[in-house]
Amino acid sequence: MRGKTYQSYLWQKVLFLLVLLVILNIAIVFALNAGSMKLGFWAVVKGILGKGPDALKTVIWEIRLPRVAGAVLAGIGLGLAGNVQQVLLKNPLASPFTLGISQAAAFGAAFSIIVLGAGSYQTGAEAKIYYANRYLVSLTAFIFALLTSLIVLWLGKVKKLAPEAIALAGVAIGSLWASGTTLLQYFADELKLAAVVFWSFGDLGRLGLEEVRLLGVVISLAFIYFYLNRWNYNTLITGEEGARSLGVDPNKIRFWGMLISSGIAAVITSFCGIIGFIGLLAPHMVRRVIGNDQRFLLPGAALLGGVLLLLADTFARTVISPVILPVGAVTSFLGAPLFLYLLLRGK
Amino acid sequence: MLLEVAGVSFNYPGKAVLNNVSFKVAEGEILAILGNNGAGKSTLLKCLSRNLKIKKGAVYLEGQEIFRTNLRWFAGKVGYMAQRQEVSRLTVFDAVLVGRRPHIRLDATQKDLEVVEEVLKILEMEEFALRFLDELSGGELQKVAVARLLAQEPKLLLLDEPTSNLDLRHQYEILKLLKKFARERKMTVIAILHDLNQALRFADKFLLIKDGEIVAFGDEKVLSTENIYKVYGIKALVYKINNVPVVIPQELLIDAG
Repeated sequence: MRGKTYQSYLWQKVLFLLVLLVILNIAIVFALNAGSMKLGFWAVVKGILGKGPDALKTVIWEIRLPRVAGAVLAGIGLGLAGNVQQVLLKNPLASPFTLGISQAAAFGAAFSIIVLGAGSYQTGAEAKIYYANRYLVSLTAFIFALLTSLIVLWLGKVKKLAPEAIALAGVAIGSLWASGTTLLQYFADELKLAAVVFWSFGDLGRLGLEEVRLLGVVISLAFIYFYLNRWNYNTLITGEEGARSLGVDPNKIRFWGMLISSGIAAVITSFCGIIGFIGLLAPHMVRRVIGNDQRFLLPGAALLGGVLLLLADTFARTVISPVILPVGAVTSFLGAPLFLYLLLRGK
Repeated sequence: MLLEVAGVSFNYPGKAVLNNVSFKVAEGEILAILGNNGAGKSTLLKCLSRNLKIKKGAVYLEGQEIFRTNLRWFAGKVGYMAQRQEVSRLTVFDAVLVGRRPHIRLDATQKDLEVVEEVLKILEMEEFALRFLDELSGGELQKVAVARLLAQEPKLLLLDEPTSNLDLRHQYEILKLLKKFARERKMTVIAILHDLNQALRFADKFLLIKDGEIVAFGDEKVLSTENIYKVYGIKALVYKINNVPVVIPQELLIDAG
């Protein structure tokens, strides 16, 4: 009976998601354990559950957990955004990074720091970026990311640009914003310049519990929205013209999906800086295994995004400890060859 | 009348495509749209399926102007199969299940799965139900699109060249099947076809279009030597074999000596 076969086929996909979930949890414990203070597996579990000595709880809950949770959430968000953009633009190369949305957010952040004076760099014993207005940085980053997303939508809809061309246009728009950032930096004073450069590194260390909570809320809401639209996305995948006679308005679905996916990309970038390749790789890898069915690819790309960014960040923290590398550099450094490998193997 | 097309005109910027097209289709009828390349056949179907907004005139479905109806209501009534099929990494079963979209509220129910199973069985596609679309041939993709349309269970089927990409046997099989479905379930079919003889065996009515204007509309008698010449610019003879009209282009006869 075909129905049973289809059911067992669906179970295979559910099993795949469960395996990803288990891997994510193992990675979380592993990441919480990694650092200058060696804790051991059971101590980490105890710490998470709020047992054990106060020093342990402080290390786990106040130092490591915000960073680990931030990595998982940002990875989930980027995986989701990449997947939705790949569906909506019908292009496996679409992602916040390749469409220029991340670069636009970076320009927005640079603009707010340099022109609007939202932040600067503090020298001396505690050298770090400080923000006069943290939310202004995020807000400007968000606005420019959104603007870029609208340009991309406009190119596709009004100018009838083919999906392949939109990805290329995204590359061009991205380099336009990057050059804008360079120009702003050229005219900035040293401290602001340092702040912008440090900002754009892509670093999860600046996430506090407050930002993590906000990321959690934004990404959960986005996930709920995307998941409620899973059937609409599947409909769109089978064809734009057929979609309308199946009751799905492609323009409406695309507009809101791009808006929300750019929104979460903008929030993540505005908090953590530019983190490339997660949004491109996570959906791509999961699609290879379980296909494009959004009922499963949406959660799958989200979970793998979380795993990938968490592993990349843990690698960044530990590889030449005590120096912590910017995670954005690590994801691009490891992501680019991995993506090339996937492309070559796919042929 | 199930469908009434009243004075529909459509133009792309700087290029008129449809000019004052009017016709009516009754429930359960099968209509073949025939015409020269670039006549506006696909544009007409896109207007009827709400994919293109008409510039002048109106289209009524069950008496309601289609652009004013709720999209979901419309989707419950009208199914559309585009000329070109999208390839993606969805399985055949999932791609057909998408046809149930107008019926799905929160998630696909057992009934939705049963409808898909039944359609796949009728189309003899059960063996490749779990294969991905990007592993199929052009003809198989075409069958998936037909299956999706049948799974939708609409009252009116709009088909843009449903038999392109299919070999001769499958062309007739699909048309026979569509006709059987239409008769049994009182579905109405409007299909763009290129083969006049195929159309004659499939349809009850014929709409002949030349460069965006209707040349003739009616039963098989409209496929006359004169009308065929008007539309395609070639001379053809219409014979009757076993009481079924057969169109033979005269060029073929000359070439054969």
